[in-house]
Amino acid sequence: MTEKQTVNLTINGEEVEAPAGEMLIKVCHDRGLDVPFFCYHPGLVPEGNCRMCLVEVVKAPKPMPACTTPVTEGMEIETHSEPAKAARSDVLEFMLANHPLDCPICDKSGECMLQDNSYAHGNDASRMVDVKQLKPTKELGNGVRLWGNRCISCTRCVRFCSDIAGSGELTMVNRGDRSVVDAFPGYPLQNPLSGNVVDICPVGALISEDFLYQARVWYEKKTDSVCHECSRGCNVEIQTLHNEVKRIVARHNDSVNDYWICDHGRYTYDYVLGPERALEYRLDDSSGPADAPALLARKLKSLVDEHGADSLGVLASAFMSNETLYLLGSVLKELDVPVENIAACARADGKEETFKGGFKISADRNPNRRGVEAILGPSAFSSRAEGLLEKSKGPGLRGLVLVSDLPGQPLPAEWIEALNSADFGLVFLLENDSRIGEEVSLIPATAFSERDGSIINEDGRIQLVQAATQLPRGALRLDDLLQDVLVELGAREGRISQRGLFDEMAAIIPALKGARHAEVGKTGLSLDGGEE
Amino acid sequence: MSDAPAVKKKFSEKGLEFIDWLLGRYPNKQAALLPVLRLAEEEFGNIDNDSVMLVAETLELSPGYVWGVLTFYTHYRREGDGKYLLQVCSTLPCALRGCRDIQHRLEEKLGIEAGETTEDGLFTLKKVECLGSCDTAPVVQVNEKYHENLDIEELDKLLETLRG
Repeated sequence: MTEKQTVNLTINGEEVEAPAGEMLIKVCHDRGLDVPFFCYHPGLVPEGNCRMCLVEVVKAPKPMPACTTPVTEGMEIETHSEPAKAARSDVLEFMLANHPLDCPICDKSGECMLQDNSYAHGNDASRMVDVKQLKPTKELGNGVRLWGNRCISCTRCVRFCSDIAGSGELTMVNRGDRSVVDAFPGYPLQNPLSGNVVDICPVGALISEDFLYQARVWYEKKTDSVCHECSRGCNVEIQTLHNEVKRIVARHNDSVNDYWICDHGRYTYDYVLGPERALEYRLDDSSGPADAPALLARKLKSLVDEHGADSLGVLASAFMSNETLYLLGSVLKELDVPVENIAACARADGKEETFKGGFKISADRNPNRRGVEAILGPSAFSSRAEGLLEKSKGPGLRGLVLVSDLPGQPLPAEWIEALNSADFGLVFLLENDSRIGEEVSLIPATAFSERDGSIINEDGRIQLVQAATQLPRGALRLDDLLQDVLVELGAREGRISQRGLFDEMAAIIPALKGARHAEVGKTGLSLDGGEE
Repeated sequence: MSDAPAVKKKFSEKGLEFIDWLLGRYPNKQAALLPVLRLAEEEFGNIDNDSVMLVAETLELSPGYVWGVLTFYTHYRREGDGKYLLQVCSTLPCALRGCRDIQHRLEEKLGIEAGETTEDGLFTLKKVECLGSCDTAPVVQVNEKYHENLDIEELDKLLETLRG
């Protein structure tokens, strides 16, 4: 690779060195300068149509849009001179000429770039006396609704559909002050990444029907986490209100998902508080969840003491975090349960899809297959799962603990049979299953939005999951329960923090290569030594 | 990804030959969009949704893209347009020379607003951008023919003639 060439320029009187060909807006933003914009998006090809990023280029005849002006040697830029500021406030005045200003009932309100830019760069009074252009409000397809009046014709959504999704459903129709985004009749928005156009719409023109009138964004709690719907591990932000997931939006990570997530990951959260969510706790008639650690430790210990360590089998899942898997492994090690009695289950494969812009949906619909393989061993899903099932049909296996937390995928019938016929059957259950017998003990499992921990995606990138919602009443955090069981078994003195647990685990599990919790951070850490 | 609806129309042999010739003159297929839309208009009399699909398929573009380009321009004859397409230029020189009066007179006489078609299917009135005849403003284009230096009196005569 040739050495990167740089140019020298002056921005607001300061000497700046920047890579040749870099767009002015990026150089300004990198230096913390507030150059406002609408149509520019770092994940899309710049088009320079909104003119909000106009800056003064000394000796140029007129203000230039920073998003499509590359830096050149000797350039002199003024971002906040009077002409630059005047140009931008004039642009804003035109933007608002036909905008309905229906912010009180607009879902974008509170995260709207038109609000923010008007507040920071606009005028304090409107001079508009003319009648505003009216445009349609309609469905565009895939749960995206258009409020034509609010559209500022930035074409972010159009460019997303043509360049990233590759399907090109959206377009600008008509021209001038009548132009508005729309889809061709009979060819609606239908790509599996459609929801992203709502994320990137700088105003409230494109609104998700799923989120319509659900919450004011400023009341929401926002938690950085990782999508659990396939093994890509797209970075997401889970937004909640009153302990309920309201929506999931994409979080930027160049190494995984850029700025995008798929619709499946975006809209699959209803099961967290859905009617099928299992909430029943049933370990012992006379006690509540608070007694679970002592009770569970006693039951497992007596089983192993009485019938031998080989009499206990465990089926984990590819949805469990590394920490939970590690703690489970520790409990079983404490009880001397042989490794071949520890297996795992996973969701069936889906369809792999790769899009024009490089975004990928994996066929493997499990968030932590790599983590299970790293901690329990690669054969956990295959030979050991088969072996354990075979063993469960014989008299030797007396106790069986299953983790059934795969959303939308109940346990296979043969495992239910094994569970029902065990002397001690325990299932950590996410969704109700009428096939489970009354003798079986139940503990509600945690859903993806209720967990802390780390998972490893298909590229070997370890990323942090954070709990966005509290557990439903009666549910137990599996991590806490297992830590307490270890205390009851005398292997630990007390619970340790999530961070401490991670560092302890990473020091012991070879595949985690001694990673530190602090290094993983918001965007994860590649364990395969891949590029950062 | 699901596909767009199936296309029912087809270009004529001669039309396809023209497209072949056209594509040789442009750097890519997308660049030939305007003349191919014009070809569709000539072959089918107007451009309806099926023609949009046909053009999109022919040039390997998304129907949405073709739709956007088609709706940007006012000079393509669209499905449902009347026998006579009256395009009133509304850009600056025509505006200074009274195109609003022309437009309002037409609206009054035809009983429709700009963008609409008369019930008898005879007239469609469109308010359009510059027709490129600023020196003879105000201008109304009727189908392919320009009517220049119009005043209200001449406009009324023109309508009479068209109505036969």
